[in-house]
Formats: sequence, C-alpha cells, structure tokens
Amino acid sequence: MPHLTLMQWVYVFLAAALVLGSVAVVVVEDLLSAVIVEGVVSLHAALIFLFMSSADVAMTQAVVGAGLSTAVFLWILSRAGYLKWRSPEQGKEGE
Amino acid sequence: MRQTAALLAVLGIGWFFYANAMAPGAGRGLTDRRVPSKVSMAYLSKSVSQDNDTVKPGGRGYEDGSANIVTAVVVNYRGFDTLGEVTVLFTAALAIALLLGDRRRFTRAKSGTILGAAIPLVAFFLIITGSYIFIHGHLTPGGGFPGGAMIAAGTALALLSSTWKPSHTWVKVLEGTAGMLYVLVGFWGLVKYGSFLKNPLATGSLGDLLSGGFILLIYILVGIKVGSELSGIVMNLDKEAE
Repeated sequence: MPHLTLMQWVYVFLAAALVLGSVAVVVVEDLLSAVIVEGVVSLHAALIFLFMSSADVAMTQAVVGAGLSTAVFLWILSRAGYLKWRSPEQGKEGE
Repeated sequence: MRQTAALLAVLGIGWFFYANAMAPGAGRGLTDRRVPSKVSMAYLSKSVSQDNDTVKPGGRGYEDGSANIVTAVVVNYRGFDTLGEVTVLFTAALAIALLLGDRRRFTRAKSGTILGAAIPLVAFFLIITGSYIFIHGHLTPGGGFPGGAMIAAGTALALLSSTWKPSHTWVKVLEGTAGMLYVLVGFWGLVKYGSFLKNPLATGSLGDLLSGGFILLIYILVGIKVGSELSGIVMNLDKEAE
C-alpha cells in the first residue's frame, strides 16, 4: 500500500473512475446508459480540473460536457426514436 | 439500502469539501499544497511594463488590467483565436440547422405538473447565473462560453416545461447582431491602433467591474452569441418525432 495523502487518494479514485467510465461508455449495450455514463465521466473530469485549480476549464467541462452535451445526446436519441417516451396519462403499459 | 448508501455518499463528499475548505491555508485547500507555487505566482503577478512592478488588486495602468489571467490571454492576447472559436461554433450550429431545421410542426407531450411548476424557477436562476458568469468573465473564472452554455441549458429546461416558447427569429437576430458587433470591436482596434482586436479602451483599476478594457464588452457579446446559438440548436432538436 503506497503512502499517499488524502488528496492523492482522491486523485487516484477520480482517475480510476474516469478510466472505468470511459471503457463502460464503449462497452455498454444500452445507448441511454452510455449517454448517462458519459455525463458522469465528464463530471469527474470537471472535478479533476477543479482540484488542479483550473476553475475556468472545470466550469466549461461541467456546463458543456456534463450538462448540455448529455441533454443534446438524449434529445438526439429521442428524435431517432430510440427512447420511447410515455406521457403520465398513458400509464405503465408495455413495461 | 440504496437511500442509505446515497446518504452516506453525500455526507462523505460534504465532509470532504468542508474539511478542505476549513483547512489551514484556506482558499487553496482544494489543491495540493505540497506543490511549490512561488515560481508560478511570481510569473503571474509580474507586470509587463518597464518598471518590473508586481500586479496588485486596485492598481492602475496595467497593459491588460483583467484580474482573471485566463481571460486576459483568451480575449486580449489571443483574441483572434476566440473569434475563430466563435466561427467554429457558428458553423456547427448552421450544420445542425440545415439537418434538423425543417419547418414542419411537431407536437410534443404535455409536461407534468411538477415539471411545469419547478422548471421556470430553475431556468430563471440558470439564466441569471449564466449572465453573471459572462459579465464577470474578466474577474472570476468562466466567461462567454460557459455562461452562454448555461443560458442555453436554461432555455432547454424552459422548452421541456412547455411554458415558454422562445421565438426562433429573435434568437437568430441576437446571434447575428452579437457576432457582427464582435467583428466591429475588432475593427475599432484596427482603426485606432492599426491592429485587429487590439484593446481600444482604458484598462481601469484591477478588480473593478469596469476594468480590463474591451474584455467586458467582448465577453458580453460572446455570451449573448453563444447563448442564443446553443439555444437555437436546442430549439431545433426540440421537435418530437412522430
């Protein structure tokens, strides 16, 4: 067990999450899950940028990478007919 | 079980942030304090004028005058790159409008009560925060691009709640005007100093809202342009396929 400070352990955890998440985005079958995991990976990248005191990049990564691009991906999936949205009136049939 | 795990995770993250914010040497608590930062601080605070002074908050007569050094590089020294970046984004928005901007009307499912009631509040705060970020781009982290993206996120939420329908024409007018004014500001520097996108205004006192010369002006324009551009993309996408 290497002797690391708390901050270094946090870096190790975040880096491992980044690598695992990036692999998961490619491997996972369901496109919706891939989009969500991609957003989570972006959020971890934003945290790493923040801890490395580059707040500008962290903010852009959080807003564009984790927020807007996830929303745009979801919208495109829904336009391509991949997601079946159900309004509340339709109930839960077909599940 | 799942709620307990989520609560534990939230408490752990909260403790982490609290402990680091309260650590000695506050403000730098989140970064690794063992890295020597004296050299970089010396370079960052060195004035570029002849007298080799250090840059201090409240000082006057600096070459750039912006408290956020990233913005100083991005908008002032490398302003032409930012103009190119805006152009790239414009081209991408144009391509999306070509692909998806058909004039057929699509109907979308009505949003539920909770969504419809909660979203206007959240979207309002998103738009206010986005405007704050691009107006204070030369003082605090952030700038025109994240601020504009935040405004577009607010627009996306507003579209989801189907309570507010922004006009497509106005979005296009705002975007075009802001882009044109950006180029005109560049020509202002060309006319005054013979160099495109050179700062034509006084730099003021470091740390004030009206400091940094034309950075405030350009970041407001970029924020409006990026915000309306990304909102236009989102509005093009917000048409439910039947």
